[in-house]
Amino acid sequence: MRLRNKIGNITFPISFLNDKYFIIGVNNEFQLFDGSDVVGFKDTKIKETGFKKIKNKLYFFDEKKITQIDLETLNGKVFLEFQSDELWLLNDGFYLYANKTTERREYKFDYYSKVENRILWSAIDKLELTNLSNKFLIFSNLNRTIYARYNIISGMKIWTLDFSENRINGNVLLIDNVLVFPTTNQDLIGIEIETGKELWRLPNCNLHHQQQPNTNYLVGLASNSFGDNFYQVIDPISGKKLIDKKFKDFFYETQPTLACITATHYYFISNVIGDGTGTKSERLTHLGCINLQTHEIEWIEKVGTTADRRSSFQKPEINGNKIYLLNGEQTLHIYELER
Amino acid sequence: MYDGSKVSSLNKTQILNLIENSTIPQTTINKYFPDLINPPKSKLIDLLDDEFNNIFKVINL
Repeated sequence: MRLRNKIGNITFPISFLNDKYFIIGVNNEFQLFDGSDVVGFKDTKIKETGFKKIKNKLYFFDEKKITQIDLETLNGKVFLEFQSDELWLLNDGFYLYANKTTERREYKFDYYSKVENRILWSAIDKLELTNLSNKFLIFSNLNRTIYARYNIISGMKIWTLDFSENRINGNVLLIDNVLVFPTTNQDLIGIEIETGKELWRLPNCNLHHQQQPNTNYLVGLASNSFGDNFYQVIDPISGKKLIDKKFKDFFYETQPTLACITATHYYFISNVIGDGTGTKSERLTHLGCINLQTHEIEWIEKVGTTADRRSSFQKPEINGNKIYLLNGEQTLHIYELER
Repeated sequence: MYDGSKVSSLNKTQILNLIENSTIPQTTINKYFPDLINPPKSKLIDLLDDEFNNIFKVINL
């Protein structure tokens, strides 16, 4: 692995868009990044807030405005300006105008069709639209104890799930037609998106996962510097653990939020390493690689030292033979993998 | 900016006001709302308001 370049003042971690581009935040502005250089957007300044990719277009959210950028031409235009308190974008054809009511945490939302240029239905609820699907209306409350699905045609609630007894802790994922909920008790619960029916429940699971490209499998390694570690591969369709193993003499601290994945390898960042006795640990950053065919560690290399938790390295990103590591000091390190 | 007062000497409203008047990076706010597209800071304040007693436990030593 060779260090090729370093770029400073990165205020938002890179997000992979397609074979060509990433989104990156530089000095609190979103920029387009081609993997080596910041190329920016044509004549368009984008404040660093939130964005959503739908088909080959990017939608950036400002306070009362959504800007659309075409990834083919890189031209930007105002997609929509709105007066409502919030706007929840389902996809480029449908969105919800949301206004707070006088009730605490309650919204009245109007489901709008751009093609028909009219509001199809309205509802009042204490839930908000999530980003889990561009096709289904999945809502949740702020503290993620309630999830619900609305029918797009009728505006009626199809199902509601209450997680207040076993709260959500980790990233909810939609894999095929299965919503995967990780809970504080370390259960993973598979819910059929159509019906809200529980399909399966697995105990003792990692809370975060990386989805292996070209498969539905969820992969995760969670470990501490004392030698405890859980490497799991889960099939969320059948609800089975395909791999559930522990690496011997492994004292690196990591979790699946500090990892990225390709079709063949899982790459993880560890910012702390122990000495095997369970008493000493050091703030040394390593990048490790697990082969997804053998499910064994292929290599681990030191990539830096960090004085404290705030300067730790964050989630890596990979594209082709380049791997991108951003640390808390806002410096992006670009490494080239030598295979 | 937080003026350095001890958190335990502030009440809930004061803490929420301090957070409301501070600058919080969008990446930090996003971490609390992984299911939302563009959560504004006000949602973080709402969440802290709702979950205050679960997050902070002020004890007198």
